[in-house]
Order: sequence, then C-alpha cells, then structure tokens
Amino acid sequence: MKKITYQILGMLLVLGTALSSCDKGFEEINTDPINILNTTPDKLLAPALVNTLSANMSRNRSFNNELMQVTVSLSDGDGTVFRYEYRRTWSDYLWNSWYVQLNNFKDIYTLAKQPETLNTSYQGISLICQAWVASMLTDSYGDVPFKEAAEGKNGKLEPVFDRQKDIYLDLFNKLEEANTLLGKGQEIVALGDPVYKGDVSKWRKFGNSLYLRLLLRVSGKPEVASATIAKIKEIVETKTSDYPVISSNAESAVLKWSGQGGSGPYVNPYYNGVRAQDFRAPAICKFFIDHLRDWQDPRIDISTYGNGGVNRLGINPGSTGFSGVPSGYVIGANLNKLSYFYSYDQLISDVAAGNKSLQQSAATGIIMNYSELQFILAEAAVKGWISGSAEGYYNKGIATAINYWVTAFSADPSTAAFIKYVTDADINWDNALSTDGKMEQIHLQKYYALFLVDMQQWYEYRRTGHPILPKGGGLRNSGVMPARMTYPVYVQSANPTNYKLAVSSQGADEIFTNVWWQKP
Amino acid sequence: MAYYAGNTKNQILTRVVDRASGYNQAIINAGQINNSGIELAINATPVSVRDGFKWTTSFTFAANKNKIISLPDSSIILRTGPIAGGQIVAKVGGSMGDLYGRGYVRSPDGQVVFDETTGFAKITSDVTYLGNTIPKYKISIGNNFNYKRFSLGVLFDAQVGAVAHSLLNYKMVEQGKLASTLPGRYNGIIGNGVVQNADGTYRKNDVIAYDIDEYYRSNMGSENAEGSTFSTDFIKFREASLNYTFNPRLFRNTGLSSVTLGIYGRNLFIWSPWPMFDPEFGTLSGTDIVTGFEIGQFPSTRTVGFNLIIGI
Repeated sequence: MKKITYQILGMLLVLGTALSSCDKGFEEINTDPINILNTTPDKLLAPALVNTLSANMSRNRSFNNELMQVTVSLSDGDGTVFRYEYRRTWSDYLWNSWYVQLNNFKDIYTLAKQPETLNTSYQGISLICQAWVASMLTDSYGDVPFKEAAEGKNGKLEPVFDRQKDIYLDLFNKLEEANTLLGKGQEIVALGDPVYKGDVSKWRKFGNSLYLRLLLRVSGKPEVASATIAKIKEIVETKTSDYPVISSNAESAVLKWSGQGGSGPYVNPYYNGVRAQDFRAPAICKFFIDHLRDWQDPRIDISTYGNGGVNRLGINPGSTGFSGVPSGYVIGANLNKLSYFYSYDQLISDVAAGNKSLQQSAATGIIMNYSELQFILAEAAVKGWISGSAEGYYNKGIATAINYWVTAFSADPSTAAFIKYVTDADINWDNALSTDGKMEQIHLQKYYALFLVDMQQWYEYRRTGHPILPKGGGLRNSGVMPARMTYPVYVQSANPTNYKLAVSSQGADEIFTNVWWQKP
Repeated sequence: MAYYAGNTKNQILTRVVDRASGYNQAIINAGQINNSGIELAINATPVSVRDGFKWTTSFTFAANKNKIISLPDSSIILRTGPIAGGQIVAKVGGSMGDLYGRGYVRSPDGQVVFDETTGFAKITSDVTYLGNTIPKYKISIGNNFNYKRFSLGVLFDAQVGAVAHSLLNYKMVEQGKLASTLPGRYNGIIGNGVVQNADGTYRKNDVIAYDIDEYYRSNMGSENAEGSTFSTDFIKFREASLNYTFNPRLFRNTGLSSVTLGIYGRNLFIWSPWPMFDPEFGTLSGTDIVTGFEIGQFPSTRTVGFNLIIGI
C-alpha cells in the first residue's frame, strides 16, 4: 500500500512539474524581497560626480597635461602623448567611464520624474551633468552616440552616433530646461550633494555658466554663430536675472575632497588612483613653469603664500629653482627632470607632504571655476559681443584664478597686491593689441585658470590656437596638435553599423580628423 | 568512437556592448550555433609475449567544428583582450572563438605594407580576422611497455589548429628582451614586404628602419594584435615513467608484499611554434577561464622525481 502511495505521489509530482506553465509567478519569484531594488536621485548623484571627476582627473594628468605642456614625461618609449603620438588604447578609458556615468545622470532625471520621487531640482541637476559629460565626450571624440546613448536598459545596445552640431543644439535645450527647472528651487538632500551641499540656486548658476562655456565653443561656426552670440548677450546682459551665473570662487563648481588619505568616499582620486612614485614621475614642463616663475606668481611662491615650505600648487622646485623640461623633445635627448609635483608621501622637513601635495589636496576636483567664466566674458567682450570691459574681466579672471589656490591673495583685482603683481609680471591688459594679441593675453591666463579642469585646456587650444605653445623637434602628427581621440577599437565590433556611418560622415577615425566645431 | 551533431539555440551568452549604451555587458540569448564533431578512443595491446614483452597503447582523438547559424546582431563581442583591439567576436557564418584585432596593412597580394619614410609596418585602424582560438582537434597517445619487471610509460599530447594572442610576447618585444628583436638593432632593418609608391602601386620594401625600437613595436607591439598572435599548435611529451618491481621473494621475511622503485617526469618537452613559455594556458577572468588571450602567465613546471612504492 505504502509503495503504491509513493508511486502515485511520484507520478503526480512529475505531471505537476511537466504540466504547470513555466512563467507562472516568474516575476515574483525572481524579485528579491530583501534587498533594495529602486534607488532615489540623491543616492545616485554623489557617486556619479565622484566617478566622473576621477576619470577627468586621471586623464587630465596623463593626457591633457602632457599634450598641453603642463608636464612632460621623461620617456623615449611608450606613452609619448606629448609627442602628439598617442595610441588607440588611450580611447577606451574615458569612453567607458563617461558613458557609464552619463547613464547614472540620466537615471537621476528618470527617477526625479516619477511621481513618488518627483523633484524638479534633481531633473535640472541631471540635465546639467548630462550636458557636462556629453560635451566632454563630443569635444574629445567628435560625433558620438548621444540621443540613443545610455539606453541599454531599453534594448539599445548599438546606439546611433549623432553629429556634433546636433548634440550641441540639444545640450543648449537641456541647459535651458535645467535653468527653468532649477528656478523653481525645490529642495534636495544636502548630504547627497558634495558640490553645493544642497544649494539649488548655485547649481542653477553653474548650469548657466556651463551654458556660456558651450556657447563660446561653437560660436566660431557660421551656421550657429549668430544664435550663440545672441544667446551669450542675453545671458550676460539683457536677461541677467533669468540667467544667474557663478559670481565668486565660493560658487565655483568644485567637489571638495576630504584632504585625507585612506579610502573614504571623498578621498582625492589621485591618492588611490595613482601610485606615489608615478605621481611625482613626470617633469613639469618649461612652458608651464617658466611663466609662473617669471611672473613671481603667488601660486608658486613659498615664503609669502606657501604652506609649510610648499607652494600652493605642490611643486617641488628642483635643485636649480623652478625650471622645467621643454616638451616635444627628440628621442634620445636625455633630459633631466627638474621641477615636479610632490607626491603625498614625500617628506618636507621630515613631515609627509600630505594634502600640500596635489595628490591629496582637497582642491583638485574642479568641474568649472569662476575664473574660467571671467575669461569667457573677456573673450566675448574683445569680440564685441557684450559691452562689458574686457580688461575688467581679464583682471578679475587672473585674481580669482590665483585666489582659488592662494586664499591669502585677494580675489579683488583692485587691491595693491594685485596691481603690483600684474605690473611686476608685465601682464597688464594691453588695449592696443590686435584681437589676436588680446586673445593670446586672455588665453595664456585662462590656461592657468583651467589647470586640472578635465581637458578644457586642450579643447580651448584646439578652438583658438591659444596660448601659443612652443613646438619641439620630436613632434609627430606633422607637428599639429591632435584634434580628437579615436573611437575605442572594440566599438568597431560592438557597434559596427553605426561606427561605419559615423566614420563616413565625420572623416577617417584618426587623431588628425577635426571635429565639427574645429573644422574651418 | 562517437560522432555527434548538436544544434544549440538561444544559448545564454555574456556579450560586451558599446559602453555608449551605458552598460558594460549584456546577457543575451544568442541565435543558433551548430556543433559537430567526432571523438575516438582506441585501446590496444599490439604485442604481448607471455612472461616477456608487452606493449599496450591508448589513442584518443577529438575534433569539433562549430558554425554560427544566426545571431540577434551582425556581430557580437564575447570578450575583449587587453591590447590592440584584440577581441573574440561571434559573427554569422563564423565560429565561436574567432579572434579579431588590429593587424598589418596588406597589399592586394597579401604582403605586409611598410611606411615609405620610417620603414615601420603599417597597422590597420580596423580589426581583422586573426584566426580561431579553439583547436580543431586534439590527439593523445599513451604507450606502456612492460618487460619482465620493468615497465615504461610515455604519454604524448598534441593540439592543432588554433591561435592566440600573447601579451607576454608584445611586452617583451617592446622592451627589447627577445632574441627576435635582435636583427637590425645596430644597423637598421628592411622589413619583409612592400611599400606603396606615389601612384598607388607597390614595390618591394627598400626603406631602412633605423628606429629599431619603433620598428619592432610596429610589428609586434601594443597596436598590432596580429604581430603577437601565434599558432598554439603543440606536441607535448607530457609524461614518462620507468618502474622496476622487485621480486617479492626478496622481502619475504620483512612482511612487505611488494616494492616498486621508479622515476617519473611530467611536462618534459614542448614542440611548438608558440614563442612564449607554453601554448596551453588558461587565463582566469572572474569565474571564467579564458582562452585566446595569454596575459603574462608563468611557465608550466617540469616535474622530475622518483617513486618508491611499498605494499604491505
């Protein structure tokens, strides 16, 4: 009897398994009842900002600084970015980092639109950050996936590449929308905002300042020039109350790191991302240090403005005083490193450099600073788009750029210290210069204001040709500053159709192919 | 002996996607892949003389062929390698394990094209097919010879028909640590290939490359996956052992039932065109073992020792 019962039970079991439908309760069974499944915008914002800045700082140091003669590696072998000869393998890192973060920023918008987490401020912040990341993507690579980018969860695994012009026009729309949304001033979580500690009005100011950066970048293209110039005038002059912009260093878009070592969430990414011996390895370039030395610049002054025997940029003077290595030198030149950036572990009077080194400093997480805005305005004034005084913007730009690093040096350009500085350095604004001469004046100072700001120095040099960089005999790429990064090689197979379309529309996938805003 | 043919539909695969999608990888149900193959095992005793010489042999052979019949997209990256765009890509009509990467620019008749001023090899900006990373067939032959109290065992393994990319080779070339980078070190070198004339035709390469560091980098360096992709064919002398079993009568008074003394060796020799240590490698990547990309592995160890087996 028992045996028969078992047999029947067994048969029922087999039948039950075989006949019941497979997908019954599929969703419920596969939904984790314990862990958190949905997030909120404030949880996504800080990690996405930190990760984007980590990527920016990493390539600012190893790529932008080498191209733009801030540093120069002492190498005849691999990694000769400063010889305009970088390899395709350089392309993957930023592409892969930025798009994943773009996805996170997009998610903030999606979440902030849902009824249960509805928040117009997070929508606006998301749009600003999307514009920030997407502009870096297109300025580095040219035509890139944008409208269909970061849509993998909706099945778009092979996104279409958009033309740079279309991307820019869309970014302007995004920044307009962000300005409106942030104008409503809905509160956000202060703890989840490492940049402005929940101050929505400052996000709005940053958004409009970024708007000016991007408008200026494409202002040289005839097909959009009149519209962009009109918009710049609107923001700066005619509708200032509708478009508030950054008005002091305290309002600069900067993610302040902790200044500590260790492994906290806001530790300077150079601290854990770069080995100490690698951080101090590149020599400081002659172009970068010679100006600062000749100007007797407070940023590298040790005795008056320094901090425990170290200047505020954390530069080791080297044995012969501040001096650098010329960039683009020929292979086999056998040059010696002179000045260089301290790493955090180097001893200065028997004390580790710590946050006096840029590797641990709190100040390196710059998204956009006030000084850059001043130089944007100075250029607009020189070109006659706005009526303000170019000299005033220029001086303010210099003073705030120094003040960012040297708080003891006033951000007010009317102080005696500032006047003495520009006079001694002989960098007074010269109204008699040609437009090109004025551009050189502005952009030499802007170059220092953009120190550590992702790859803005490179973008601005490509746009304007300023500041004029000396060219060494070892340069490749016909001695011409590379115009872009190539697309990552794996994209050719991961997204073959759209890759081919992009190359046929933009031009060969090479570092000398100009992107849209750079094409003559 | 077994012959099999299996068609797999909607296999679950991890796919590397364009990061522009916002994601690194996607898990997909991939099309249809048809496998067919043969497995053969033979055990034989060709010679057996009573109380004398005995030879037993075992032979195994396995071959597999697979073809991708359909896929949801035209090409799917299954895995990316460390450099030069090296990647395992699945395409319709291809096989699983197809290796792609950047390689030499070639003239229409297939010769390597060199730069007309520097003398370096030109490298494609696109990825090209470099071979398949899954061996076409594997063979193993084991023999045992017994004569009186001696017994000798030898085992050979072989695989044929696959390629792989060697990171170690590229790295050592870039650092000039391989004998293959010696030619031309002091006087320059003319690469074996052609250069393009101004009118588009080709002539035999006559440009001397003096920057020898860059010359070898263009051939086998981090940009050129083809240059450091090699055949992983091999024949391995996998194992040998020689044993002598003592006459049990010798130990009658000690209580031991048998005593065998022998020497043995493993991984004794490799015959292979692979330039690095060992063409048989697996690289750990997460929970998978990856073939096709050698990323700086240690040599396999050769073991030589002796046995003393005592039976109580």
